[in-house]
Amino acid sequence: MREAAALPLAAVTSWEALVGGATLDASFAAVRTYHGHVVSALGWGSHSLAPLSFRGATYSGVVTLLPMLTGRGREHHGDILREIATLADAGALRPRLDGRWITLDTVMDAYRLVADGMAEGKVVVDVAG
Amino acid sequence: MRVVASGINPLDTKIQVGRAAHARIQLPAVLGLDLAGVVVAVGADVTGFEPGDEVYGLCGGVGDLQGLAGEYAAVDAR
Repeated sequence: MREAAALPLAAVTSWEALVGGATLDASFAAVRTYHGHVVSALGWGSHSLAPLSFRGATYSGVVTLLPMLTGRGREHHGDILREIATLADAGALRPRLDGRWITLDTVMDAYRLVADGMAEGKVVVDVAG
Repeated sequence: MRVVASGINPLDTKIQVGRAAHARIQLPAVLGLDLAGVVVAVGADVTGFEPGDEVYGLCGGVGDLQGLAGEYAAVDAR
């Protein structure tokens, strides 16, 4: 259950798009001419489209939250989560968990750990205690 | 759903300090996007899930969806 709780947002976002930042610019410069397609989650920075345009390639943005915010496309998230579950059940995908035991009583410590970047893997709240 | 475990995401901590406008959450709110737990009851038109099923999901904690870092949560079966 702890491993399952570590996966949803991180794995769905990774499934949809893996890159951003400098990697996004590098992708624009590396993508295949004419049929290349770059996908990224968000992309908060400023990026030149010229390298992409010179290759006649295309770009799509992804916001993992959209189906939850709009109510549209939630079946697609369900499909992705079923695929991820298949990978996890087969042992092909194993989340790395932070070893600390966190319950609802100590959850504020966990948020601090994540906010400070001090977690050594995914932090999961053991709600059932 | 009876929540057994809920993962923490960096987005939760950004919502906490009011730096995640794109999450469109109304404070005060329960945090938590990730859930693993057990189905307790299903709606009349829900197929594919039944009480006792162990499931996981990305189904709360943004917009007007209840956060999942709590003991129980009502979530969209899709």
